[in-house]
Order: sequence, then C-alpha cells, then structure tokens
Amino acid sequence: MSSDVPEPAVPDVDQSLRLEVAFLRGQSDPCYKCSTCDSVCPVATVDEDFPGPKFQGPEQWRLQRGTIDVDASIDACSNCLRCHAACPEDVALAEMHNVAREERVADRSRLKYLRDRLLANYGTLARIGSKAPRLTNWLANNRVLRGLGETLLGITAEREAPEFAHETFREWWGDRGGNTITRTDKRVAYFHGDYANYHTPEVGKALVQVYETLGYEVAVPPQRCSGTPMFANGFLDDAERAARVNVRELSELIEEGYDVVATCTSCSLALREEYPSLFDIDGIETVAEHTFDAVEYLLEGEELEAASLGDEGLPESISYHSPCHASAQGVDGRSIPVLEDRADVAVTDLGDDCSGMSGTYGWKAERYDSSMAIGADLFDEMTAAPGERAMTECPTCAMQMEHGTGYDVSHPIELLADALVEE
Amino acid sequence: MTRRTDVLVVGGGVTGVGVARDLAMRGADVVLVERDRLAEGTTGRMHGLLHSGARYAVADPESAEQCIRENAILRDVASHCVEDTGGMFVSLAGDDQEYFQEKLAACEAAGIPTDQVTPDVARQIEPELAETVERAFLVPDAAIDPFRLVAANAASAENHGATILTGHDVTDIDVSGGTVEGVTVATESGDTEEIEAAHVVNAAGPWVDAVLDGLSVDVPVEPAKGAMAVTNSRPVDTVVNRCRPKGEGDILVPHETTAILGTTDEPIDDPDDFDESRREIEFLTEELAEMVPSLTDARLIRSYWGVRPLYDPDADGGDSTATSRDFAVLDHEARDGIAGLTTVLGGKLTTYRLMAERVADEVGDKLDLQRGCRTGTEPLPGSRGEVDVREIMDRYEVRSPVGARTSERLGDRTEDVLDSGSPNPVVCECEAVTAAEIRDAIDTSGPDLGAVRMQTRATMGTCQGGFCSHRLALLLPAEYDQETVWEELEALLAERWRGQRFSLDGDHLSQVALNRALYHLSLNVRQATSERVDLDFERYDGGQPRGELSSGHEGGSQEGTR
Amino acid sequence: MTRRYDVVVIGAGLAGRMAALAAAEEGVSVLLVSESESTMRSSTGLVDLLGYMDGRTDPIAEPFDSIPELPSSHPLHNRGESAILEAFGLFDEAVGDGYRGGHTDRNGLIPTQLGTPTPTARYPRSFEAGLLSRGEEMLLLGIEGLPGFDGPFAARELASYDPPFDVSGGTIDPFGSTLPEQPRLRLARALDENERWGAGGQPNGAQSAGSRTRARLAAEIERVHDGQNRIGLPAVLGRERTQEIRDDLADAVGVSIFEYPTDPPSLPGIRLADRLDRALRNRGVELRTGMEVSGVSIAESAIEHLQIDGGTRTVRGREFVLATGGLIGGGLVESDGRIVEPLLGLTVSHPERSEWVREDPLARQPFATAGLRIDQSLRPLDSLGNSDGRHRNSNPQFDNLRACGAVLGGYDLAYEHSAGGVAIATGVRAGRLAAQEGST
Repeated sequence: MSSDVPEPAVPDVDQSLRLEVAFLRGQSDPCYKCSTCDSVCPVATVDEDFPGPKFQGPEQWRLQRGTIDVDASIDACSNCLRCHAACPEDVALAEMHNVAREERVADRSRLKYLRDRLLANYGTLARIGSKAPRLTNWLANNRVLRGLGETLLGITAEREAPEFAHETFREWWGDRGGNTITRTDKRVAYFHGDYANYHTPEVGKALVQVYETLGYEVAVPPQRCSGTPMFANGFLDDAERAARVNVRELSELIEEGYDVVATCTSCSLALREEYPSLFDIDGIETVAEHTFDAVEYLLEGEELEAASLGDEGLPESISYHSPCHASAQGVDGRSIPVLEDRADVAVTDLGDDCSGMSGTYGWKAERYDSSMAIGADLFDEMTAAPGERAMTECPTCAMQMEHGTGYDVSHPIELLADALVEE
Repeated sequence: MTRRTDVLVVGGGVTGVGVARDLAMRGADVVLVERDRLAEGTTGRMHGLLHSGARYAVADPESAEQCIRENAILRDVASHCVEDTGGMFVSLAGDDQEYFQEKLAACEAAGIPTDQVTPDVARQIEPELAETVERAFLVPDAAIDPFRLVAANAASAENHGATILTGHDVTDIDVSGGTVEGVTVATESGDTEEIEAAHVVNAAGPWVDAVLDGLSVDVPVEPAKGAMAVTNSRPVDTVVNRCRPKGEGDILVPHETTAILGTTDEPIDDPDDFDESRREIEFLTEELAEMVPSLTDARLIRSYWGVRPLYDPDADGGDSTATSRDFAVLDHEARDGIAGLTTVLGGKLTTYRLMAERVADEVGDKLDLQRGCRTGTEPLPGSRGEVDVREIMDRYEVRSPVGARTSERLGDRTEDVLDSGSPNPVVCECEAVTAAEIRDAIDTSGPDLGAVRMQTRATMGTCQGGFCSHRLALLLPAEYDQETVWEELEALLAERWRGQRFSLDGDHLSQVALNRALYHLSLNVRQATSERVDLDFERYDGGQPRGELSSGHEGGSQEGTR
Repeated sequence: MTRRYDVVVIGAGLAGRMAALAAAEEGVSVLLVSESESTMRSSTGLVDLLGYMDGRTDPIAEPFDSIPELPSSHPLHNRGESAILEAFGLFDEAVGDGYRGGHTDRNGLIPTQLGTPTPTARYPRSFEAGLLSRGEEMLLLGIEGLPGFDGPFAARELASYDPPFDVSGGTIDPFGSTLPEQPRLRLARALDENERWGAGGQPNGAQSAGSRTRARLAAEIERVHDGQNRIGLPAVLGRERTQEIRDDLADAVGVSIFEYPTDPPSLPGIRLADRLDRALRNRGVELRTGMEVSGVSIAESAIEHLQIDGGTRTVRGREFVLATGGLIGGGLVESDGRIVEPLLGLTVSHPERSEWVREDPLARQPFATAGLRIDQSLRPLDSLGNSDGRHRNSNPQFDNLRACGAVLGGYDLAYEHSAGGVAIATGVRAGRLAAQEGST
C-alpha cells in the first residue's frame, strides 16, 4: 500500500550550500529581464558559446532546486563585473557568478584545477619568485618553459611574464624605515596589492610620495591578496582565508582613525563590494566603508586643491583607459581633471571598452584569443590617440595594453607624483 | 455533422481525461468534449499538491487513505508530472498542540508515514521557516503539475483511440424515452454538432449542474472558490503546511520554478462569475508569512482563483472545508430515471485516477466492456523511463539547466521532441523552453497559445510573457494565418495581464512597466490589434530628399519624400 | 573637500544625459552620477516625441498640432514648440550624423519586427531608408533561428496597412545550423570587425581563412533578393561601424540596406547610449557610474551634498537635477500600495490603487502616470496640488532641485510613445535652468 511512498526523511544537504541557493534563487526577484547586463558583456560579443550574464545569473539560479547544477559556460566569464555594475535593479550578479565558479571547481580536470589554483594564488607564487627576481625573470620568460607552461598547464605562451622588481615595495618600505606615524589625523593605510608589491613598486612609491607631500602619513600594514583572482577562479575558501587577514589588519588601523587607500582598482572593488557580499567576518562592513581608491581619496580632501602642480617631466599627451572594476565603483579617471587643468597634460579618454585581460583570464591559453579579441578595440583607440603613452589604474589592464600596443603604461598616481611640486 | 461513439465524456479536466483514458483502455470508443481548453477549469487552477492525505487525516480519514494510496500510484505512473518535494506540517507558538498530536496519530491510522523532527531540523530542511516553529513532522506530500498530468492522460486516451475535442461546448443532452442518446455541442467556429453516444459521463466539475440544465435532475454541487498566488522564485523546496484545523492560508507548495500560496474557501453561486479581490491575496501572504516570513517581501508574479466542485448531499451550507471531500459517482438511471448518464463530482486531483476507475467500472458494466483497470499500473506517456539528462544535453547541445528543465517537463518524450533539428534556441528564457518544445505543443494543441503555455510553461516565469509572448506567436505562422496569430497573441496577453492585476507590487510593477514599453514602443502591438484605420502615409516623414535608392547606400526617391 | 560642481545630475538615462549636456553647454561644471547603466540600452533607439493621442489608433503625423491638446498635467503641455524644437536640436547636435528626422517636424513611420508601423520623431540613420512614406519596393528579412523574427509575417502585416509600396518578406540564414548563444551581439561584433568565418560555421576571429562576415551576409541577402529596391534587416549591423557595414552590403547587393528596430538586446539602443557618452565626454561632463546615492545632506531647504554608498563618499553641487527614471529606471517604485520616489522621498502623485489598471492590457494604464508634480521651473512640489492641476499651496521641496524625464508624472510614455519627447524637452530645460542658477 504505502510501501511505494518514500518514507519521509531529513534530506542530506550541505547546509551552507542550501542557504546560498536560497539566497541566489531569490535574487531573480529584482531581475526584470531588461538584458542590460548582456548588452555590456564583452565575452558574449566574441565567444559564440557564451550565453551571457542574464542567463548565467538570475535565469539559471532561479531554476536551481536544492542541489546546484550550474552551466559550464561560467568558465568563460572573465569576471570583468560590468554586468554587475550595469544592472539597473541591483541583482547580485557578481555573487551569483562567484558561487557558480566555486561549484565548477569540482568539475575541472586535475591539470586545469592546478593551473587555476596557481593563477588564483599568484601572490604566493610571487612571494617565492621575488626572492630571486633575476632568476625568476629569466625562467619566466624562457621560451621553452613558456611553451611547456602552455602545453602542460594551459598558461598561454603568447604573453611575456611581468618582470619581478629587484626590490619589492615592502622591502623598500622596510628599508626606508617602515611605518613611522606621528600624527593623529590624516593617516592612511596603504593596500598595495600583490602586483604593485612584486612588479611595479614604483606605483607604491609614487603613492607614498604624493600622500606624504600632501601632508599625510602612510602606514603599510601586513596584507594578503585582495582575493580578486581567487573569486575569478572559484576559490572562495582561499579568498576567505586571505580576507580574514586583511580585515583583521585593516580593522585595527581603521579603529585608530585610518582610512584605507588602494592603487589597484580591483583591490578596492574587492574590499568594498565583494567582501561584504561574500564573507561574514567581523568588521568587514567597516573595512568596506573605509576603503577608497587612492586618487578618489585625495579628491575628498582639501590638500590636493591647495597643492602646487607643474608640468615638468610630464608627457604632453597621454591616453586613459577606464578599468571595468574602476567604473564599477565610480572611481575611474578621477585624476584626469587634475592632470588636464593643472598639469597641462592632454588626456585622451579611450572610452569604456574592456581591455579583455581581467586578471588571470587573459593568461589562460583557452581564453587568450577571446581576451585579445575583446581588447582589439582598445588597442585601436590607443593607436589612434596622440602620443605613445597610456595610463590606467588596473595593473592587469596595463599588462594587456602593453602587450597589445607596445606602449608604456603608467598608473595615474605616478603622473600625479611627477606633477606635484615639492614645497 | 453527427459523430457516433460509445461514451461521450463532458469536461476536459483531469477527471474527464482520466475517465476517457480508462474507458479507452478498456476498449470503449470514447469522445471527450471540453468547452474551452483542457485543464482550463478546476484542474488548471489548483495549488499543485499531490496529497499525502495528511491534510484530511483528522477530519476525513477515508479521504486520507485514498490519498496516500493514490499518491503512491501517481508517483509511479505519472512520474514526470511529480516532483518529490516531501512535505511538512509545522506548528507555531500559540497553535493548538493537541491538534498536532491528533494529526500525527490520525496519519498513522490512515497509513501515512510520518517523521517528527525538531524545529532546528525543520529549519535545516527549510531555512526560510519562521523562528516561531515549535513542532514539525514530515509527510510524503509531493508537487504535481496538473497541466502535464492532463496532457499525458489525454495523449494516452488518444493513443488508445479516443477523440479529444476542445472548444466544444455542450448545449443540450439529448434524451429520448428516458434514455440519453447523445449531446449537442456548439463549436468555437459557431457550428452545431450532434454526437450520439451509448453513455454520457458528466465530468464537468463545478459545471456539472450547468451541463444537466434542461433535464429534470438536481445535482447538489456546491462550488467554492479558492484564491492562490504565485511567487517568482521558490522560497521553499518542501510543501509546507500549517498544522491547525482551520483550512485557509495554510499551505505553501513548491511548483516548478515557483511556489504557490494557498488557499481560501468561500462558497459561490456561479463558477463563471464571482468576485476576485486583492484582499484575498493579501490575506494569503499575511497568513503564510507567519510560517515563512520572507513571503512578506517576496515578489508575487500572479494570482488566480479556482473553483472546487464540492458535493454535499445535505446541501445546507456550512463550512465547506469540514464537509467530506469524498467524491460521488451518480448513476442517473437509478437516481433519476434517466439511463445512459453518469455524473462524477467532488474529490480532488490526487484521487482523480480512482474516481475515473469507479466511473469506468460503472459505465463499463453497463456497456459490457472488458473488466480490469490498468491505469494504476501502466505509466502515462512521458513517465515510461528514466531520462539521462547529461546525454540529452550533450547530444542536443542544450545548456545544463535548460536540459534539466526540458527533461523534467517532457520525461521520456524528451529525445523525440528535441530531435527536431537545429537550431533550437530558447524561446522562453525565464522557464528555459526551447523552440522544439513549443512546436511540439503546437502540434498537440493547435494554435491555442494558452494550451501551449500550460504544456510548456512558456510565459509562466518571471516576466510573465513580457519578452516571449510575441516569440511564441511567431512560431505559429508556419501553419496558421495572420489573423489567427494576432488573435492568439492578443488572447495570451489578455490572460497574462489578468493574472497580474493583483501582483503589481515592488519588483513586479517594474516588470509590468518594462513589459508595456516592449509591447508599445518596441513592438507596437496595439497598432495591429486595434480596429484598423486607414493611414495616410503621405502625411508622415519620408526622409530627406535624395537620389534614387536602387543603386547605392541611402539614396532617396523624389516620390515619397515630404 | 570634494569639488563642488555647478550642476550635479542624478541618473544617466536619456533625460539625465540631455540635462547634463544642456548644462555643460552653458559653460558650467557638470557631474553626472549614476548607480548603473541606463535601460536606454534596451530601447529601440527610436526617439519619439508624441506618437498617439488618447483613444486614437492612427499614429500622430504632426506632434506639434497635438501637444497643445494634452492635459495640463502632462509634462509636455506647457513646453512651447520652439522650446521643444530647441531641445531636440541639442539632441541632434549630440548624436550628429547618427540620427535623422530633424529636417521635419512630422513623425516618421518605421516598421517594427512584427511589421506594425510605429511613429517616431528621430530615428537612427540606418533606419531612414525603411521609412514607410517612401515609395520604393521593400523586402523585410528575418534571421533563421532568431526567435521573434519572421520576415514574411512582418511583410504581410505591413502590407495590410496598404502602404505606398509593395512589400515582401524573406528569411536569411547567415549562421547555418549553429546559432551563437547571443546571436545579435556576436553578429554585430563580427560585422564590425568583418571577421573571417571558420569551418564550424561561426565567425572565428583572426585564426581562420574563410570568407568575411560582411560578404557572407551580403551573399545570403542576395540569395533571397528578388529585385526590391530596399531591404530591411533586424538592427544587428554592428555596434560601431554601422554605416560602413551598410555601405559594404549595399555595394555587394546593389540596393539600399536598412535596419528595423528590435526588442532587447537592441543594438541601436546600445549605440545611442554610446553616442551620448561620447557627446558628454566631448563636452567635458564628468560621468561616474557605480555611484549609489544613499542619502542627502540638506541645509535650509537646499541640497548641500549627496552621500554615496553609505556616506563615506560625497558629491557636492550647487544645483541638482533628478533624472532617475520612472518605474522602469527605478526612480519610482511601489511600496506598500503606494508609488514612491525612493531617493529623496519626494511627493509622488498617483491614482488610487484600485484604479491602477484597465482590463485591456494594451490600453492606457493609470498607474503609468505616477510621478512627481513640478512647478514652472521643473522643481518637484511638496504637495499634490489641487484638482484643477494648479499648485497654489504647493512649494518646491528643495530650492536647488529640478526633475526631468520619467520620474515626472502626468503621462504614459508607453501608450503615447512620448518617452523621448518628455526626456529631451524636460531634460534640456532642467539642465539649462540648473546651469543658469548654478553659475550665479
């Protein structure tokens, strides 16, 4: 009789997963299918197998039942977050994609998993590599090794590895005397990010120069990767571990009255948006509220207004690329009016195309073509603009821009440093 | 035109098609007539619950036992229509704890397996449950899709030789010398048809007495309306029941991609004309939010009312949820002296198959058909085997969630339907319905987009057809004329609009606003569906004067520029 | 402290962008902040002024004849013809050669993807050859596999209106049996870059040696072309190089190729947003997206600054323009049975909830007229005014705040086809007035 009816039993379900599904499924409620997200997606224009964020986000999450069954196409998402920034209804697209990527990790082949884990935890690799920068640089750009990297791991051989600086930013900071704080106000904690630390310490040095010239004191706390490459590859646990360290270190300083400034706009976006949405760590909201882009922060204060700027040592013209992660938080191009009006630099705005690099994305062999196809318009714009210099706040965009055009690409804070006349 | 058949079944709800199937399987020649489309009546407007019987265990143990038996059978023979969600009964702080115990005991007595769990475990299973849950137990409730169930029964009946005629409205039952000879029907196109039958089964649900109008028989059917509302996304994956005697606003049923809030219970006079008010929907949300607080702010996409065909021989009013929900098979020969006529009423969707079996037994005896009912063991079309979703996805290149939804809907027919050639784009994005599935539904049901909607779930998702109504309509021109296409699109838009009028809140009002911009600004539907007026094209802008268009880019022509 | 802009515009839809442009033209400093992208990207790219009057099914040919007949609560009602023309003139300048229709005051009729004639004041250049008042024989094409397009159906529909030309329909199949997941966006890109196609029947970027996209598309068009003088395609002809693509196709096929508008994703909507962005940049307007206004700081009935993202960032301005949109843009939302303006809590006028909808889905819907009531200077008023529409006892809620576009009440942009008209007319006026106030 009722032997054919299943005995009711408590289903065996991963509880945190269950909660995540419950939340993300409900995120289809604000979606009204306008397709604005799809209209800004750079991958969908170049990859015929890519359905786009509307499907990968609210549509497919609404269809989930208890267990999660995400479509494989999320692997091809570059994590540019343009969809998330563009959505008129505040659908939590970034979170949906991040969790989808996490689900997909289990489906990766061993080698792909290894590759993605390496790329995601680039900071760890870089720390090792920075111990012997010359050797690392030689190895990283050895053609045979690059070829092997592509064949075995799927890391593209088409790109030159970024050079390791002979002295990391933190080493320079330490040699210089480390944190010497005497003030009780106008203090900032600098979140430098892995890239600036290991490859472009001149960006960090420029920030220190600018801030100190304007009368701020800079502290450089212990810090881990902001997590962007980890989100992008679905390693949310790795990201959470790093987040715990960052939140702990930065909270302490914020409590003492510091604000946090970052030069890499992916770092600032991670701290401001992805942290509070993904992780439940004490103090994470406070960190989010007190994190700023380095140039944006200066424009909130009065010192830059009052400072003297000159055009000595500055290029006549430079073009500017707006990183997707910067415009997502409204901090793109903040330096332009300053440089144009007060340092006589003619800045060509390259528009709002995506560079196609998106961190680790452009390093994956199977994504290289898409990455370059997406960046093609930007390269054309750069070539058409006067001069052969460009600037952008995102280090991986800079990498792509250099790769695509051969131009020298700086961070705007470097130009500001050059423009500031020492009193 | 005159047809002849053994049995004429009136009513295309689940009982009607269930009867048609059973009798056809026993060898009878069957014609079923339905005035509108299949499942348009009570069946298509229920809350999607496959009862474990627990809801009736205390007040109507016989019903409860029938339910649990049929529950087991339908999970087997209608597997692709059933989602094994499981169910639970929860008791909140302040609810009658004695009743909780009574309910548990009554379930046991009726053979309904239960499993009592702590409130914490209940919330583990369903994180959206209120903190005020004090007690809970699990039952084998499930979710069932009534449209698929009806479509499968109809398909099976047809496979066994039955004829299903939608858009055929019975205007008269023809009786001669105390014996029913057949019926007269009016068709949608305005024709009249006579159908001669040895026996007529009246399975018209709340309309059984309307069908018998003109005969001197009295069938005390007590129609009672119930309101229901549909959420955009599922807040729960289990059927959640409030454990208390009163039966209103006490059930939340996961249904496909949504959840259904149910229900109310109010006697009405005319199943075709009754009040529908926003207040009833607000009531449902308020009541059910006691169990699932997130319902207060959840997006509702639709509301609808269904009419129960309750049978109460005492016919003295009273609280109809307490009335026995038993069904009745009325033999009019014994009862009213009219031979060849049987009426079936009452019951619930969960026991449709049993009702149909009883009807078929009775009619079968009269017509001397082969004995033995096989509807309890023979799987319905769609439920005949497991589907390998992964394989389907790979072979037909459908995305993972799309493949999953398609196979859930089509069951063992998935491959046949998808095997219709490329390209096969998704047409309804919200519900992941591909063009192949829509075309299959059009093949079955003709140009009626309402029937296509029921079978495929197209337009039943987040945007309620805002983005896909016209895409559905444009799959019709291959076989149907221009006028039909516009009629069907208009009817679809009107039906979807009606369902949304009490869910114009929050996010969904924004949806409706966007949909309107689409219909008016992007598609300009109103220009086509309103009364045609002559357009004087000369009065409008013809562009800037240019040379001839024919050879070049955008030349212009001297005529036609203004 | 952050820079104090002369004019701060909130909302980057058509109205907001026009307000920013108008303010910038006055020579003041302008900041345009937006939380997200504009839903303009989903629009057809057509810019209407006034398309239908109440109860009439024939589209308006001369909008300026009908505007004076609008009720006094309608945002276009008090806009004089010259003011509207001037505002549209600013739009024409901003979009340059990308748009046509400014040579006349009349509306043009364009065929939708369903073949229904739709009225518009301005249209993308690529649509012009498809105007229904021209006499050339027309071929309307759908794309195989793309849901929602059926060339022959559209042609039959259009023919039923007895236009001054013969029209037939056809279907092209540029993709063969493998549609990209996002056919329109992908095809537009492939056309822009004129990508080569690979063996898999897909445009394949640089790696393949097959034929190029434009040539392939031209060949497909030629296959079904039967002598008609103009051929209409869904608007997928690129995002950046539409004219170049059309020229190439016209060269190959020998006749004019035009686009007709589509449902989302809509390339002309995307192009319009891009064009206006360029115009803003050229005018020196600072445009910041990703800025969620979370609060406002007020001093003596004037807005001092906007709080962004919970208050740690601020935007200071002298004059403010609210262009946050209506129910579609999120500038108006339903809450507890009322329609409210969520950013500043401004008073919203709307009918009683029981009166919000009519039974006919395609009729004018009363809820759609919800929005702010404004004074002559486009400042939102703090009360709903008297029944005669006058506001004798109402005051502006803020001295330095104006509003424009769909956040305004008194009109039904969908039914009337007046979205563009209100956005441009009120946007330009709000921007100009704000600039004039803000520079003093």
